[in-house]
Amino acid sequence: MFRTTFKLLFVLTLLTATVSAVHALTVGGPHATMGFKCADCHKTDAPQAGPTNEACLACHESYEKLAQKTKPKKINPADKESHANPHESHMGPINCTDCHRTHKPSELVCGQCHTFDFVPK
Amino acid sequence: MKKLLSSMASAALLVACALPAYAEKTMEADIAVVGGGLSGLAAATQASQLGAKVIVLEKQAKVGGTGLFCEGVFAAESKVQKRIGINVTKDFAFKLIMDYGHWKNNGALAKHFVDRSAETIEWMDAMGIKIEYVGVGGHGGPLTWHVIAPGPDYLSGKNKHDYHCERVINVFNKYVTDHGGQVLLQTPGTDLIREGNKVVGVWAKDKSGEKIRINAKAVVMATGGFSSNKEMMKKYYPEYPDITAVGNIGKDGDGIRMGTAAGADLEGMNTVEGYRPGLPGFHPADQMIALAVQPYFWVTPRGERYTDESNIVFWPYSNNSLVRVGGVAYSIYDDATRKAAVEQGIEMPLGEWVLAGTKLVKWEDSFNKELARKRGFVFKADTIEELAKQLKMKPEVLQASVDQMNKAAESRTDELFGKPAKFLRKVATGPFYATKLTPRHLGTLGGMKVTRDNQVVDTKGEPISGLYAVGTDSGGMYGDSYDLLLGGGTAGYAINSGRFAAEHAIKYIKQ
Ligand SMILES: Cc1cc2nc3c(=O)[nH]c(=O)nc-3n(C[C@H](O)[C@H](O)[C@H](O)COP(=O)(O)OP(=O)(O)OC[C@H]3O[C@@H](n4cnc5c(N)ncnc54)[C@H](O)[C@@H]3O)c2cc1C
Ligand code: HEC
Ligand code: HEC
Ligand code: HEC
Ligand code: HEC
Repeated sequence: MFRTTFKLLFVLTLLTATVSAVHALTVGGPHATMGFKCADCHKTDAPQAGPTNEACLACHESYEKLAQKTKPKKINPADKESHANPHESHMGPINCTDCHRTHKPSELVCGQCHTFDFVPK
Repeated sequence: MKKLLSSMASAALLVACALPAYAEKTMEADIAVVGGGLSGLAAATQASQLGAKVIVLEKQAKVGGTGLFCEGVFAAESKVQKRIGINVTKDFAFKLIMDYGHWKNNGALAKHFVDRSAETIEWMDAMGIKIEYVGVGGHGGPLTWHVIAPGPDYLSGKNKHDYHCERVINVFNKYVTDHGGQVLLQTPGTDLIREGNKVVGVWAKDKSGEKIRINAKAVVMATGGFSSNKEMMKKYYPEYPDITAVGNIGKDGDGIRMGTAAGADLEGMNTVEGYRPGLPGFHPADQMIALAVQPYFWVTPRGERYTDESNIVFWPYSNNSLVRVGGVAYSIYDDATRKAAVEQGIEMPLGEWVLAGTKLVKWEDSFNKELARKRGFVFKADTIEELAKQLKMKPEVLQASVDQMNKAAESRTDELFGKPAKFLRKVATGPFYATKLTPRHLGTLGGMKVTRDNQVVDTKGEPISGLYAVGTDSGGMYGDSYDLLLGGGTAGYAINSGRFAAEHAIKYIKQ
């Protein structure tokens, strides 16, 4: 269901996409092939800073829903770190862009202090 | 006069209209607190209690800062200490703090802190913050570390973090918002607003980049120091600027920068909260690290012992000895030591993280995973010679150190460093394991120079009207090293200093 809505959205976005001026920044990451315009993520055609969480969540629902999807598969009660969930942590609802990047490689902000197996796209 | 004012007002209006349409918001408060960590929320709570309208600015997506990680706070002559029969007097505590700092510290501030510490425990108790037990800073030391008990949300299962200092954060945060205060998340303070010599507010920036002008009668700086600021670390901790900061990110020295721009003097900037050595990327309770920091046999990259390993009881000492040899060491143990730690449990506790006697059943998993990552953090070999080669040490140097250690273990005397006999262990049964150790700290301790009431002073010692610095944004509590003789000193000081600033600011506002 989630995915089909997205596919629809995706097609719509492609249809409405107009050939705009050449931009210095290219769209990489998971959205690279989706024909997004700057404003799809930035809510403006002349972005100054990274997108807000609200902008990402317009298509990706909510932190709670994301946390559901990335819940750890198995939890070892003796290992506090096995509870780790990138979308629900002691850092609070941080910026998506602290991990997920579009114009440069993604990076796990937790990696400064932990060694987790999950990697952000 | 009236006319002049109104023409000034219209001139201001004109200027305002002429400026480009920068969205700009203005807010009003009695007291603006920059930083919603332990000291900032304590200040905000105390100020709210005294009837002030408070705005708290917090850079991160969540309040708490380093205050999310601590467990207990210092007090002397508290009710609970008296009840158990713990005899730590205020006089004793004050003298110990000052002697440890060689009287380089701010005596008036330290005395104020010690004298009010017990009352602060009562103040928290009245808000529902209870004490679980009273412990030590370093094993065997005076009992001053008042460990915070689990709160109702922990007990009901609603919030597994409603415990230790995070319990304090939860209670303070709720108190402030319930009493008309505002806590703005992801909204860092950026610059102080001054009028003549007075501080009259602070600029902030919300997460969409919009500037907010906060007019306030007093501003409390509580941004938690500068451990995330690489430049400042280079300048003030040149011995090992890359020291791993355990805790939270975004402590960029903003408070100190803003204060300095307003004329603040600084003190104690070279002192960090040196911690048990370890490795970046590992939880403080990781079992591979827990075994590596057992006080047995640690060598420099040349392969020589460099310290009484058991000084890790007072981890600032452990940090100091590691930093002085360049900041890299290897903890080496044999299979007999590994087996004892896994099957019988460890001798040296890691605070509340890993208790004495804990069987390190997760050691194997953690060690082997790290070995497979091949990051140069852990090593394993069947012989000392082979291990030395992996560690790029001269095998004969490491072998000589091992021989000397084994001799010390047999004779029960450590000729090199006089380590207590119970920690003298052989390195004899292969395979042998090595874990790299590098310096870590819990935060910076230097900052703005303050009065006993946490008013910031300038280089002439004159208080800057309307400006306060608390917690780790203020200096003066320490000499050249972090003091762990009395447990709970930094968190205790954070809370107490927050209260002092709020109390003084209220008096200042009413003047
Ligand atoms: C693992 C660990 C365990 C510890 N255990 C203990 C213990 O048991 N006992 C003890 O005494 N001490 C302990 N400490 C130390 C103690 O937690 C700290 O000394 C204390 O939290 C410092 O309080 P603070 O208010 O100065 O800083 P913080 O609590 O870090 O608060 C600073 C806040 O300011 C925010 N901030 C930064 N810049 C800005 C800005 N420009 N605008 C707005 N906000 C900003 C930060 O995000 C943060 O929330 C421990 C520390 C760690 C890391
Ligand atoms: C206009 C809608 C839209 C916006 C805005 C948007 N995305 Fe996406 N995103 C998508 C679609 C569509 C997909 C592909 C979904 C799928 O395959 O399920 C996707 C995929 C992703 C994926 C990969 C998911 C996977 O399963 O591999 C990540 C991660 C992601 N987005 C993060 C972000 C972040 C972070 C932002 C904000 C900077 C953002 N998105 C903004 C529509 C959007
Ligand atoms: C702490 C780093 C981090 C932050 C912050 C973060 N993510 Fe993620 N995200 C990850 C990681 C890691 C994964 C992959 C998880 C996995 O492999 O199980 C992921 C996966 C995803 C996915 C795919 C989920 C799925 O499995 O279907 C989407 C979509 C996504 N993130 C969007 C977001 C959005 C939107 C935000 C901000 C609201 C956000 N993320 C914030 C690290 C992060
Ligand atoms: C898929 C969502 C997405 C799209 C589409 C997108 N961006 Fe971004 N943009 C981001 C994210 C995420 C960041 C945060 C940093 C990064 O990824 O490099 C960012 C950051 C930026 C920044 C700030 C860079 C900085 O240094 O902080 C600018 C400027 C920017 N984008 C411009 C653009 C332009 C121009 C376009 C259109 C060509 C565009 N973006 C399209 C997601 C997007
Ligand atoms: C600046 C260092 C730092 C960063 C960044 C960091 N952590 Fe932590 N984390 C810690 C420390 C210190 C502890 C130990 C505190 C405790 O257990 O209460 C911890 C504990 C944990 C724990 C175990 C206890 C708990 O709180 O559930 C989990 C799980 C965890 N972190 C997940 C994360 C995730 C996910 C991220 C990234 C979104 C992250 N951490 C980012 C330092 C950090």
